[in-house]
Amino acid sequence: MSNNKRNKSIQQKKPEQVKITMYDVGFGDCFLLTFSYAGGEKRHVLIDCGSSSEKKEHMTKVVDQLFKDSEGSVDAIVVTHRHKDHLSAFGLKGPGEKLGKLNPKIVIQPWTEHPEAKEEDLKPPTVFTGAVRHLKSPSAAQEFANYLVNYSDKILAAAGSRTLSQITRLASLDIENKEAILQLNKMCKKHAYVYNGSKSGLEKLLPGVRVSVLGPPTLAQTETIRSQTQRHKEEFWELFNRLAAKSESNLATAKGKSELFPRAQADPVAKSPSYVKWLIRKLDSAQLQNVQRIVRELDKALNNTSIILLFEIGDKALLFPGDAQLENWQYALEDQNLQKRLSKVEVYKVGHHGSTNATPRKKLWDLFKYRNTKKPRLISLLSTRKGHHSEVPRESLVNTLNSETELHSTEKFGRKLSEDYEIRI
Amino acid sequence: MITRKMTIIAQDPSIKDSKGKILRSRVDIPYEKLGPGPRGFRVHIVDYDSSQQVLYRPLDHKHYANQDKDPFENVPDDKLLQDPGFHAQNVYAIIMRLLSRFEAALGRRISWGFGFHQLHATPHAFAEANAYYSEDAQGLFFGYFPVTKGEIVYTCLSHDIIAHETTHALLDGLRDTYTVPSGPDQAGFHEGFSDVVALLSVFGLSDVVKALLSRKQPESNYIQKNELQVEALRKSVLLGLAEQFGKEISRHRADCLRRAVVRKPRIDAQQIHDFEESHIRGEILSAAVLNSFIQVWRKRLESWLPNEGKAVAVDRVVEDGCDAANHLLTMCIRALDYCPVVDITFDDFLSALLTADFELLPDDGKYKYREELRKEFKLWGIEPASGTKTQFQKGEVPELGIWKKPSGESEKPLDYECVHRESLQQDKNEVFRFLWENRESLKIFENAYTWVISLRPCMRLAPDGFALKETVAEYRQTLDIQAGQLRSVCKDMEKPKGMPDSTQIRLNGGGVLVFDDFGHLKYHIHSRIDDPDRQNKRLEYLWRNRIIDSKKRYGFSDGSPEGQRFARMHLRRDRRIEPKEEWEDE
Repeated sequence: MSNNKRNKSIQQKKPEQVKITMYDVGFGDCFLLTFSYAGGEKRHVLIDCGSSSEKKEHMTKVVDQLFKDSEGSVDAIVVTHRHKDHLSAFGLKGPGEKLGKLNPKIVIQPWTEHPEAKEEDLKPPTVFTGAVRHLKSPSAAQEFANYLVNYSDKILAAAGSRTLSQITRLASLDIENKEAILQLNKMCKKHAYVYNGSKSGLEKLLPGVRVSVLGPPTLAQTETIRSQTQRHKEEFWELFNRLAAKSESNLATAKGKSELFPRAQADPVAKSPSYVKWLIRKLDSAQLQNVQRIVRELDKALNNTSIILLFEIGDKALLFPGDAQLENWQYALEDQNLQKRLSKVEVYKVGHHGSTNATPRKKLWDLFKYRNTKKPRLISLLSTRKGHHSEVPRESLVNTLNSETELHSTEKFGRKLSEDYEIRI
Repeated sequence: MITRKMTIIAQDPSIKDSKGKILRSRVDIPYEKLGPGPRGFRVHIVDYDSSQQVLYRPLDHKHYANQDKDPFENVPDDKLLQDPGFHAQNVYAIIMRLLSRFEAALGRRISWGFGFHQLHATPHAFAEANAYYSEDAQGLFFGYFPVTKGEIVYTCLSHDIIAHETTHALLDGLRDTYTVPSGPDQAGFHEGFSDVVALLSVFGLSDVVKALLSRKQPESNYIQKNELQVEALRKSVLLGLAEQFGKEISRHRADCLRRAVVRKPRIDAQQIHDFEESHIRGEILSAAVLNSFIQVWRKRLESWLPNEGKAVAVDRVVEDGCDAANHLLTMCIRALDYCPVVDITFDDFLSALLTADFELLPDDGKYKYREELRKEFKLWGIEPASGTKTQFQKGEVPELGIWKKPSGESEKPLDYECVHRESLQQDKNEVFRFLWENRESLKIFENAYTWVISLRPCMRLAPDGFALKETVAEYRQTLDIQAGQLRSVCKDMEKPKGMPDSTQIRLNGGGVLVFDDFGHLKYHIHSRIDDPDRQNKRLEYLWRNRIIDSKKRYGFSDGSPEGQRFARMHLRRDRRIEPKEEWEDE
């Protein structure tokens, strides 16, 4: 059967089965969705492939396995957002190239990744130019993270080793991942940059499946994210300008000399009286708290650019929210029709590795009607690693997932590299 | 009192006088022998910048060797802005001025909340658009941040920001219990009260009021009468200031002032969920007080505005505005002595305001400050906690809204035989003895940990020239129990729905005892620890908003890291209420 004919025949069908393969990537996400149609036709969608805890050797094994599972080709790749734990494999020598051979027909990313989203461009209301106000620009944010990771001991001289490692670990999630982005751009010509209510780019590739993009919202759609941007404008970027813009050599001379008042005389801290030193210690630790808070906000802001995808086939629904946190969810969850559709979710990829505010408790969790039922029973898929991100996964959420759903967690995989879950339609 | 004059920036560098120069003011500060910093007996400026790790050389005390010398009086604007020494003086002078304002109103010295004498202040603490009071560092931190084209904005040059932060520190010294988790009103009170004090003290500077009134005709000494109507004053003075605030340096402050002024009063505000957020709640307080200020100002103007002619002398108008702002500011500060020790509500504050003023001015006077306050608070559904209409009609209180006399609380007369009058004014043990002996009459719950936290003799001067002598003592009670044991305190006490029996809870109570010159109890502002109504409401609020400490206990602290409580509070200012959608580990 020629390709054309095959496409035509499949366009009128709906899948008979969906298989979800969850790979153990430690702290990260990697999911392969395989839609099987009558006559043996299959369509593959890869959602994310990255890890912040696993090394290249492990990721090579994962990609090899993924390559086999998808028979060497996928129809689409979705990269939910720019964090390392969702795309690192694309940037690794070896695994990245192998992923490149998957030959996707389309790469789908959030609208904030659109190459036309320029930092200086302040003109709303088009979706793409609004990126600057959403996050100023992801690449500039990541430059800051990069700087923190590389020079944290210098700019955060007062930090203890534990605090320092907490900050750098969080910031390292946010670093640029330039190679990965380049590889994604190279992979195929067709790219979709999606937002709440936009087309997903999967319409023709997945016949019989309704794919809805629930997030991220655009600026025009939400005030919540706008207020987050305000915060960045006010503090993050100021700090960024002051700290990150300095070169390494500049830093070495910065101590004891003021850029604010170049003519003002300064005193050596070492010679100051003890009560002044006491206050200086307090101030240094306050500064540290500020940086910690800003890094947390940066992490959160990038999470909130996550794509949220809802797949519906007949009366079955599968939900893949990436790392979207409350602010990203809020806009979508206002829609009452959507609430009804979400209630039918049978497979839920647990948001943000099980963190405290990525599964909105009242607005989302309470909607799922297959919690606590026997058949069908909600399947929850949790890709996570304890001790890698402060308080993730959240114990109370994991307990609830355990008692109210059929929970599959990569933490329970042992030596297995992946697990399959099949949903018959 | 000997004073010295110091130059300060009257509002912030963006507010200019009629000649286009930064509007300055020369203010009177209590004279003291200053050390380098300046470093005085209550305030010590340490200019350390943690973002650049630079310690600026302190301002030389030789500048102040001569009492009459004001080292920055004739320095041009650009040099003033570029001199960290001036920034240090600006912060020192504004803090000291406000401290003396509080001491003058209360008629006694005031301690800082952290127990030491000298408050630190850091004019260039970090590169961040924030300024806050840190009880842990015993100081006020002021940030700076670059805006367009490399221009730097310094929060330490804004009179309003300095006054606001200083008020947090002063309030913490007077009522350190107001940072203990309570209900929505208490959470809003710290912010609202600091806003009120900062704004009224700005309106107390005649240069600023004049600049705001004369915006249309900066060179003229006259103002049109139609610009003196209530609405026009609200617009020109209150919103005018908000507009000025809007210039980068005080954008946060502009937003809150504007919101407070334009927000339409709602009688049901306290029942609406949106008004539960602490900053929005605080804005109710600012709105009620600031609108009373405009009403009183207008009344003062009406008493002399001539029927003929269209314009009047602007100086006279300014003088009335400043007097009204000053009187209200004094009332607000004095009210603190009559506020409950724990769980303050706006209803309590209104009664405290009215009582404080009544004690000095039994007659509400020509301009009816108290009447205006009752009216403006009522628009927001705030009624005095005491002195209700029935109490007034029964003769239990001399005026609507005044705290009741303690005799009304119990039939048993108070026993004074057990205490020595003089000791009662000086010795906390003596006050405790009084409490102990009268625990039944005063209806004090015996099975709680009880202690006297402060004892403050004070003397206030009434406008008639007579001095009012009072001794204000505060005692506090705490009871740490499990949620399942609440009914053992009072049968009507209930844990919030869903709270496990084993949850650790701290109940608070206590009271303010105001003694007269003869050692007799005038007022007992009592927050009973076994009051089921107050405790149930508080626990429900804490439970619903998950306000817990690091050990997951309710009512102990809000879980902020040391010294960061106010930093976080300010950063939350512009945020909406975060819906409680999170997963908390028990």
